[in-house]
Amino acid sequence: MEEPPVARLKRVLSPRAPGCASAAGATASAVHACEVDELASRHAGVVHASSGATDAVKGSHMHALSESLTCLANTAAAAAAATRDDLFASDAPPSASPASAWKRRAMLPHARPALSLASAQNSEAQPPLPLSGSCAPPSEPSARRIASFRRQIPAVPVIDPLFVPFGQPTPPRDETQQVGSPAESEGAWMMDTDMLARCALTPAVATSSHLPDNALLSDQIDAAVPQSASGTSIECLPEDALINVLRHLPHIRDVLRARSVCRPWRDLIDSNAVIFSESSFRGVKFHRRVKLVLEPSLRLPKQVRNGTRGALSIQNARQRDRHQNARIILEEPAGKHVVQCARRGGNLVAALLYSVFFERYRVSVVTLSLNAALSLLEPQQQRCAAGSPMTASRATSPKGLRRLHCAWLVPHPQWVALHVSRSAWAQQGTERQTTDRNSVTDSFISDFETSSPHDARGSILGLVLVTSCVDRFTSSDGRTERRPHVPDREANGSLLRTRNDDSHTQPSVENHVGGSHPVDSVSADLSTTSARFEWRVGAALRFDKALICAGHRGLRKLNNEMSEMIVQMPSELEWFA
Amino acid sequence: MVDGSEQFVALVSSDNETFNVERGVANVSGLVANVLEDVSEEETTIPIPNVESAILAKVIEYCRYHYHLQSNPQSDEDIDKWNKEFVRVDKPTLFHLILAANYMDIQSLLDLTCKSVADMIKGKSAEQIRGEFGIVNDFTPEEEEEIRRENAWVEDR
Repeated sequence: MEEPPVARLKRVLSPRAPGCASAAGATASAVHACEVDELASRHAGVVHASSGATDAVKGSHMHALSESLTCLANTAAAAAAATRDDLFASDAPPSASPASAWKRRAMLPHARPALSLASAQNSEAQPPLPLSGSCAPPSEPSARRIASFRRQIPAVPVIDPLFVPFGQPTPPRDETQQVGSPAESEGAWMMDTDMLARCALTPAVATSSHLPDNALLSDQIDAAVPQSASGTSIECLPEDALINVLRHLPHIRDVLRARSVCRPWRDLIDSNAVIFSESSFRGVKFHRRVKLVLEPSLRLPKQVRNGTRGALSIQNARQRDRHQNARIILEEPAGKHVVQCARRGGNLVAALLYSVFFERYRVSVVTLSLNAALSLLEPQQQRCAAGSPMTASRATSPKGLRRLHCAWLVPHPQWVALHVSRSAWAQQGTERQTTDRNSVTDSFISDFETSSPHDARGSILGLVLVTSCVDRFTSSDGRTERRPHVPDREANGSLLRTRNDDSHTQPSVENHVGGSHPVDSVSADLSTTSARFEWRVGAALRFDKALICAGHRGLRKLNNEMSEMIVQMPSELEWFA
Repeated sequence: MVDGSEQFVALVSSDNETFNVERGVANVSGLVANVLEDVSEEETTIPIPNVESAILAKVIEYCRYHYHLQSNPQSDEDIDKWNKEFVRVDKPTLFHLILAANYMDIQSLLDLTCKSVADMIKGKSAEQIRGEFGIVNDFTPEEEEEIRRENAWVEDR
């Protein structure tokens, strides 16, 4: 009947894996094919612009170029056709994964000069060179020309482009080698199709004046290649450049609108977290449109589902299903996409997700350093030693109220969920990035199994009841004066943080891990300029096991199975009062 | 050729036009800098086969301005103004500049031009974006409805 939590999690996570992987691959291929098409159509488009050169902006310039450009278009189209047929049939798509895209970028600086030098040589080559071994007569249909071009291209490249020599005198080669030289072609294949086209273009420039009736060819190419609507369009940009454009969109709203423009853009945005990993969420109201779906095993009382205030809701939920693990799914219209963001957006969005979840219970989520959070949650006499599991923190009653100087303003009285900053992770610079599904899943599961306070960064450790939150400073005479602050829901917590005040900018008091510390010492550590508010905490609720959300470790590229926010409810709640 | 400040290199565009520029200016391009590092001192002709002359001229203009900023610092407002003026070009030119900056490895120019395009996208609806850039809507009505639902959470109501 009842599965252990980890087994359940595994069951939940496993089924969708293969489909997801292949879908990602298909997307990458589709985008890539698209890119190739665009490359071809761009060159064809340029030719169009130049034929109407008088009204073109740079008319004279374009005119001068028209002949060679026509040839460029031919070659690019041929390369595109060949690429679609050959390259994707083989099992070596050059940019199927982000990892290979990075590798590609890394190797380009080496590869480009090689091509440049090669092209210099080619342009000096005197004799006319039809594509080697495939002298197509002028009247021959372009399809055959393309087919013969395609025969030149090795299907599966093997040569590492880093070994393409450059900056050295190239040994003299005979003419047939120069254009169709396997070394050049293969190097290009290993880089990407864009580079292939460039490589293929170069010989064409050298021989442009010798290819007969370019006009005829370009007409045929026009028929074969889908045209973009306007001459040079945004669709001609390679994937990298388009990503670069879209990541300059400041707000998540702009990104999502761009996502609804066309399929290539949607697929591009869906598969590149970098585009909105820093988007602003300012002004987005999550709680109004998120629907919380609970598994059948966890039926909340009606007043809890409707969102009564404070701890009562959580407590009721726990009493109702004391030993269940709840899987909480945030659903459409808002939730589904919020969660999709989370699986790509890393920790910031995870914090937002927590906010969404706790908003339901009218609980704010505030990000604190680990020590600040522990100082509020731990009993004062028995601070948690480093590395000890959370279950060891059995409560003794705290004496008096706890206080914390903090940068966050919260309305009061108010239950606040303590989200632990992952600043230490950021400092180590070891943000885990992986596209390997298994390793993600494994590490995620192991996080569940071994959640100790120091593995708990990014998760939610517990709840505190803030009985008052006062501004410690007055603006005029510098005199410290405690005055109650007007509760303001819009100004607190993780929901409205922007990229500039992310959690890692908060004061950290990591040096106090272990041993017994009065809360006052933590307050002193936090009384920096940013610790503007003083919280008085009336009650603390420490989760037996931290709440963990998919993406809490800043995994930028989680997989589909993470698209549901998975919250493991604590198996037992502890109350301090 | 002995004094580094007087050295020139020749950049050759795709249409075989030659631009003689100071070595320092040319070095703003990561591609050129890479090539210059690896070739001998005498080698001063560098083909830029993917960039046509009009675009290359623009790129060199950009490199020159930003190279001379090192010796003649200007206020941020002035630089900003110059940059804004620089990218006030028609869209095809802008896209060519992006491609050239990408190819020639000039990160600041790439950011500038990409940001400029992003500014054209910003604040527009999907339909307006399509109109602006001549993009064909290839979604089925069902897909469009789905996306509309997915995006509801960021759209004001």
